[in-house]
Amino acid sequence: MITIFTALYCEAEPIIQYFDLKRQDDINGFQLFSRDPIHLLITGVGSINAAIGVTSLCSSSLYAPDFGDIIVNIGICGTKNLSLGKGSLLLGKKIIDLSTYRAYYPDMIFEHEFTESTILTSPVPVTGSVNNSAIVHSLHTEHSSIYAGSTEISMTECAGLRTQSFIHKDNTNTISNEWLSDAINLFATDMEASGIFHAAKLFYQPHQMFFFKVVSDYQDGEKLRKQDVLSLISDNIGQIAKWILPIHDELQSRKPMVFSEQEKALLNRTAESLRLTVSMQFQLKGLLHYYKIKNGDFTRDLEQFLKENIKQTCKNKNEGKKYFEKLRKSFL
Amino acid sequence: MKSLEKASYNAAFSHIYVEKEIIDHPNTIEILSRFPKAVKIEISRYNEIFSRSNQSFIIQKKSPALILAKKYGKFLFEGAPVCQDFGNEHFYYTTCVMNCIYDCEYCFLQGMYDSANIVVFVNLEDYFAEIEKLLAIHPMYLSISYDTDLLSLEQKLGFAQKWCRFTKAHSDLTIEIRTKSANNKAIEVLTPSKNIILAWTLSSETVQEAYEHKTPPLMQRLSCIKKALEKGFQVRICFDPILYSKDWLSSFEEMVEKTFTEIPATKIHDASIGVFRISRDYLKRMRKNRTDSVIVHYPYEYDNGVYHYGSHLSHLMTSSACDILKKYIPDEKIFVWN
Repeated sequence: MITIFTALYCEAEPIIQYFDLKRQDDINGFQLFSRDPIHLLITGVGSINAAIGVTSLCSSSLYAPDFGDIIVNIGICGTKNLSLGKGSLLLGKKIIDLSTYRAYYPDMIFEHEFTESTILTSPVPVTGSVNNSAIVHSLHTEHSSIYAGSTEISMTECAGLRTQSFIHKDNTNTISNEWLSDAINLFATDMEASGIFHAAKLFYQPHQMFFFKVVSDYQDGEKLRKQDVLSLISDNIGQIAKWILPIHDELQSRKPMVFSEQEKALLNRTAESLRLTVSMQFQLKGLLHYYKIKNGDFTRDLEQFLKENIKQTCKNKNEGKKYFEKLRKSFL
Repeated sequence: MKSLEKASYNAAFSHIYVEKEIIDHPNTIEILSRFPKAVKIEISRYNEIFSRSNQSFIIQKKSPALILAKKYGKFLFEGAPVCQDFGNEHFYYTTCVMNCIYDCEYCFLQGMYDSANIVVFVNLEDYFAEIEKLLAIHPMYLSISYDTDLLSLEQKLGFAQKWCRFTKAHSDLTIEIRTKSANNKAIEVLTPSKNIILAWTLSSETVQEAYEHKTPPLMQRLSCIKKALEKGFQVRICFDPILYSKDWLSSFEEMVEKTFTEIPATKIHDASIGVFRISRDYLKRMRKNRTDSVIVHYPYEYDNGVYHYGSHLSHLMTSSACDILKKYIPDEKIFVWN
C-alpha cells in the first residue's frame, strides 16, 4: 500500500489522474481516492489537519499500514534559494516544525537523483522574511549546554531564508564547515510535513516515509493560481512514481514471515490435542517458526506427527508434555 | 501495480548526521574530510535519530548512516557476566562507537540498539581522561571494540591509531581490539605494543557464508592475522560464538586446521572458546527484527536471563571444541566461557 497525502485538491488532481484513482467514501470528512495499492487523502492546509488526516486514515482497519507499506507527502513549497527554479522537485531529509522547533528525520536509505532539502513546516504561510528571534531564543534555551562550547550559531534569517553561519571565536575551521552553508544545505518551507511525520511515526518506520516538495514560489507573496499548482505537480508526478513504486515492491518483498491461516489453525489444533499450557503454546509456536524457516513448511510433518502419535486429545497435561517433548526432539 | 525498475539502496554512510556541539571537533573535521560526497545533516543530539522507537534495524543495515556525536556520562563499564575476562581482575569495556558495518545474524547489537546506524563519539580525549583517573587507582584491561568493529572502520575513523598511541604511553593499560576484519591497511599503520591485543573472531566458512553477512571470509582474516603477527602484534583468536548445526564439529575442526596451517600457533597470545548465548531481552528483539533467521529462531533453552543451547549440548560443544584446539595451543592459553 502506498498512501499519498496532499494538502489541496489542486495538488492531488494530477496524482489522481496519473494513477487513475477513484473517489471512495470520505474518511472522517477527508476526501479519499484509491486504486490498489495506491490511496490518496486530501488533508487540508496546515500541520494539524495533516496529522489528523494521517491518523484518520491509518487508524481505519482498511488502511492500517504494515511493514511493506509506504507513506508519501506531496505538495508545493516556498524557498528563498534562487538557485532552485520553480518546479524543482525536493526530497526532504530533515523536517523542522517551526511552532515546536522539533526536528524529524526520514531515513535516507534509497538511492535517488532528487535534490535533498530541509523542510521547515510553518503554521502560517511564509511570505518574505519573518522575525527569527524566537527560533534562535528557543534553540539557545533548549540546548543551552550545547552552546556553552566554542561555537555559537547565528541564524540571520529563517524559514527558507536561513543562512546559518558558524562564528568561530578563534576564526578557524570556517572552510571545513562549508556543508552548513545555504548553497549546499537547501531550505524549503511548507505547512504540512511535520504534521504528517508526527502522526505517521505511530504507524510507519522512518524508512517508509517520503516527503516531496515542488518549489512554487520565493516567499515573496506571489499569488499562486490553481492552474500553476496543477502543472507543478503534474510535471513531477511521473518522476516521483518511477521512484516510489520500486521501493514499495522492495519493501513488500521484505515483509516479515507470518503464519498463514491454515498454519495457525494447525498450531491451535496441536496445542489443544496436547493440552499445552500458555507458556508451552509459545514454545510450540517458536519451534514451528524455526522449522518453517529451516524447511519451508511445517504442516506436512506436523500432520504426520499428530497422525502417528496423537490418536485422541491427551488425557492430561503430563501426557501432553511428554508428546510435546517428543515433537520438540523430532523437529530440532 | 508493479514497477519494472528495482529500488537501489544508498551506499553506507551516504548520509552523515553531525551533532551541533562537535561540529568543530578535530575528529569530526578529520572524519568528514574522508566523506566528501556524503550528505551532512546537522542535529542537536544523536538520540534524535539513533534512539527513536519503531525503526527497522534490518532495512537500516542495508544503508547505515553515520552519526557523529559527543559522549556524556559514563565512559567505562565493568565487563558483563556473559563476556570473557581472560583472567583479568580489572576488566572494563568502553564504547566510543556503537554498531558495526558487518551484519551478523547472531549479533547481540541488533538486540541492544534501536537503530543500525553507526554512532561515533568523537570526544576521545574525555575517554582518555577517565581512563587515566582509574589507572591512578589500579591497572586496567579494557576492551574497546565490543559494540563495534573498530579495525573495519579504521580508514574512515582512524580511532584504532589514536587508542594505540594512548595505550603505548600507559603501561598499566592493556587494550583489546576485537575484529572480524581483514583490514591489512589498518595493520600497516598501527604500531604494535605489548599491551595492545588484536583479537580476531573466527568462524567456519559455512557459518561465515551463511550468517556473517558483509564480513571477510576466513582465509582473508587469516591472512590479515599473519600480517599482524609478522609485525609483532599480540594476537588473540576467538572461536566465539560457536553455532550449533548438525555438522558443526567437522566445520569447526576444518576451520581450526586451516587456521593453524596459515598462522603459527606458537605465536598466538591466547585463544577463547564460547558457545552461542544471548540475553533474553536481546533475543526477543532480534526475533522481532529477523523473522527469517534460523539462528535467531532456534528454540534455545532459557535460564537466569540467558538463552543457550541447553547445558548438555553447550558442554558437549565446548569440550569437543577445546579438545580440537588443544592439539595446537597449550591448555593454559585457552580461555573457555562456561
